[in-house]
Amino acid sequence: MNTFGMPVDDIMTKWLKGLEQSRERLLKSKDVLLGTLDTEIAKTPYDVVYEEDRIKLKHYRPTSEKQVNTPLLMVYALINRETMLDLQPGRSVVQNFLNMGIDVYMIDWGYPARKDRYLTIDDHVNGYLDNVVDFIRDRHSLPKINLMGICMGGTFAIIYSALHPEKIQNLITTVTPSNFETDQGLLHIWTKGLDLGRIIDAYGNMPGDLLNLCFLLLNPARLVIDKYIGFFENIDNKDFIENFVRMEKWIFDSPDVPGETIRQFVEDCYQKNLLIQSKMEVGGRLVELKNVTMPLINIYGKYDHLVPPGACNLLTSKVGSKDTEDLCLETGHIGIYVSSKFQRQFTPKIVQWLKDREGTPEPKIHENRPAAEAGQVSEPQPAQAVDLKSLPPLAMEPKLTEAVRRAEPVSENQTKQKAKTHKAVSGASPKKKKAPIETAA
Amino acid sequence: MDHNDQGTNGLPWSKWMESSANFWLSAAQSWQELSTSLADVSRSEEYMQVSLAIWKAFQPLWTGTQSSEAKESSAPPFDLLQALMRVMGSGGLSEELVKWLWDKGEITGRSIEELQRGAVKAWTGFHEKEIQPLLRIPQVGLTRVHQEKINRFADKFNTYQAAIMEFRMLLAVPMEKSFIEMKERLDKLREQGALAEEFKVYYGMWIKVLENHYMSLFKTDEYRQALSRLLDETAAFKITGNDLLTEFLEFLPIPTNREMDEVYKELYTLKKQTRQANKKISNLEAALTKKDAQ
Repeated sequence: MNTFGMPVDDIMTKWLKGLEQSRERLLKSKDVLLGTLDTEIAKTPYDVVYEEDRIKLKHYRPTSEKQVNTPLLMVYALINRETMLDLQPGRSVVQNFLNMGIDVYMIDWGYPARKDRYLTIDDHVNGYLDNVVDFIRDRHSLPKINLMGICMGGTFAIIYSALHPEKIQNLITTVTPSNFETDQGLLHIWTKGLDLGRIIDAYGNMPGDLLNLCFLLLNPARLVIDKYIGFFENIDNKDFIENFVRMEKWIFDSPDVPGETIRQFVEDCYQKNLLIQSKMEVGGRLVELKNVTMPLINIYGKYDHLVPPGACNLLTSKVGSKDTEDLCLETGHIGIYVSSKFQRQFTPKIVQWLKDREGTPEPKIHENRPAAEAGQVSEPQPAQAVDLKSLPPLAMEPKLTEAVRRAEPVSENQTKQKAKTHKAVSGASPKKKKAPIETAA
Repeated sequence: MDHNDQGTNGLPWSKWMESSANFWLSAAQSWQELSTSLADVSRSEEYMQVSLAIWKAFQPLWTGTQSSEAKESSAPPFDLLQALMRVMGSGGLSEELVKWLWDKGEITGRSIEELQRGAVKAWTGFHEKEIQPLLRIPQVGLTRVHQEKINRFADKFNTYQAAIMEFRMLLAVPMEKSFIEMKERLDKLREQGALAEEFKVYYGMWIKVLENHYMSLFKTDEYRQALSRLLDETAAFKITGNDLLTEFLEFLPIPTNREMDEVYKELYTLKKQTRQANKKISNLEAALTKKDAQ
C-alpha cells in the first residue's frame, strides 16, 4: 500500500477504466450530437395580435374551456427573453395556464437596437405596456385585465398598477424586485457602487452579453465549470442534451437593454431604492404604492440568488390593497418557471387565486376592433401549425433536468431542508397572512 | 509509510508530480518535434506545452516542496519566470515585458498570487510613471486633434489592460485557495485512511470549496472596487476607441454613430410627441362622443 491509501495498480486500473468510459461516451455522443435533436423552445402556438415598434403581443391559442374570463397579460423582463415561460412542452408555464383555462397574452419585448437607446421606463410602462393593456381591454370589452409580471417585468407591472389601477383587476408579481436595499444578493451588493452610466454612454444600450457575463460571475464555479462538466458527463444522453441545449438557448439569447431604461432602473431602484418608498417618478408622475389597490399575490424563490426574498417580501406590506398574499417557494430564480415540480404548485395556485377573484360575466372578443392609438393590429399570424390535440397534458413530467439544476446554484442546506411555502390565502375574505405550510418535496 | 516516495517536505505526491511533469513534458516535446516535422505546430500542442511548463513551474508551490537551491536563493527559480511570462503573456502583458520587469527587479513575491500581483502592480506603476506622461504631452499643429485622440486611445488601452489583468488575477485567487484547501483536506483524509476511491468524490468536494471561496471574494470591497474599475476602464476604452474610429469614418461617405444618435434622438422625441397628441385627440373624441350621446 502506498501513501495514497490504495495500491498503484488499483489507481491505474480505475484511471484506465475512466478513460475507457470517457472514450465510449464520446463515441456514443457522436450519434446524439450528429443526430436529430429536438431543442426548439417556445413551441406553444400563438398569434401576434398587436405590434408596436419592436414589441409584439402574443395571444396563445386556447387548449381548454375558459375557466377565468378576464384575460391574463404576462410581462417578462427586458433582460433575457420571455421564451423561458414556454421552454418546452410539458414544462411550460404558458401551456399549463392554457390547459387550466386561462386566456393568455404575453409581451415579446423584441431586440432593442441602437435607436431604442433613449427609451425610458416611462416609454415601456406608460407607452408600450399601457397600449397593450388598452388593446386587450378593448378587444375583450373589459374595463380591467389581470396582470402578471416576471422579474423586472414585475417591477414594471407594479409601477403600471400604481399609475393605472383602474385598468388592472388582479396583480401577480413573480420573482419581482421591489425593495433593493438588501445585501442578500450579490447583484444588490455590486450595483451599489457601480457607475453603469459610463457603460451605457459608451455602448448606447446595455449589452446583453455583458449582463450575461455578470450573471455568470455570480457563481463561476457552478455556472462556468460544473455545468459543463455535467454536460460532458451526459454527452451521450439525448434527453439531457436536448434539455441542456434548450436552457442554453434561453440563457444566451440576451437582447441588449435600452440604455436609458436600465440607467433609471439601476439608479432609481438599485442605488436609491425609490420604488418601495413610493418616491420613484415615471413619466413625471410619482409611483405611489398605496395606489396598488387591486388584489396582489407576490411569489418569490427562497433560494433566488438574483432577486432574493429580501428584495421581494416587503411589497405586500407597502401597497394599498387589503387583499395581498406572499408565496415563498423553495427554489431559485428560474426554478419556479422551468421545474415541473414547482409548476405543479405555481400555476394551479395562480389559477385558483384568479378564479377566487373572478366575478365578471364572460365578455365577447372583438377580433377586428382597432388597437390603441399608437399601435397597429396585425392580421392574426399562425405561429406554428401544431395539432392542439397532440399537446401533452398539464405538468406531465416531474423530473427536473440536470441542466436546470445546474443553472441555479443549490446550497448544501437547501437540499436538506423540507420544502415550505407561505400559505396562500384564498377565498372571499383575504387578508395579509404568512402562514407556512409544507408542500410535497 | 514509505518516506522515499515523498517530496522534500514529506508530502506524498510531490515526487510523483515532479516525475509526471518531466515525463509528460518530454513526451510533449517529442510529439511537438514529430508534428513540426510533419506540419505546422497546432495550437493544442502549444497549449499543452504551456500548461505543462506552468504545471512544472508551480508544482513546488502547490505541493509545498522546493529545491534546496531555490530555498537558498532570494530569487524565484527561472522556471517560475517562464511560467509567469506565459500566464501574464496570455493575460495582456507581453512575455518580453514580463521578463524586462523581472530583470529590473520590479516583480517580487514567492507565491503565485504575489508574483501576479507584483507583475500587475509593476506594469501599472511603470505605465503611470513612464508612459502616461509621454502620451499626455500637449500636441500642436494641424494634426493636434487626431494625435490627441490616438494618444488618449493608447493610454486608455493600457489602463484597460491593467484593469483586466487585475480582475483576472482576483478571479484566480479562489482557484488557488481551493487547491490549497483541497490539499489540506486530502492530507487529513489520508491520515485518517478515509480516501475515496472515485475521483468524482474529490471533484464534488473541490467544486464546493471553490464555490465558497468565490462567494467570499465577491462580497469583499476589494472585488467590488476591481469590478468597478474594470467597468470604468472598459467604458473609457470603448469611448476613446469610438472617438478615434469616428474620426476615421468621417472620411468615408457613411454616417457615424454620433450622427445617427442625433437622428435617433429626434425620432424618439417626435414619436413621443405624436403618441401623446394622438392620445389627447382620442380622449377628446371619446369625450365628445359621450357628450353627444347625452
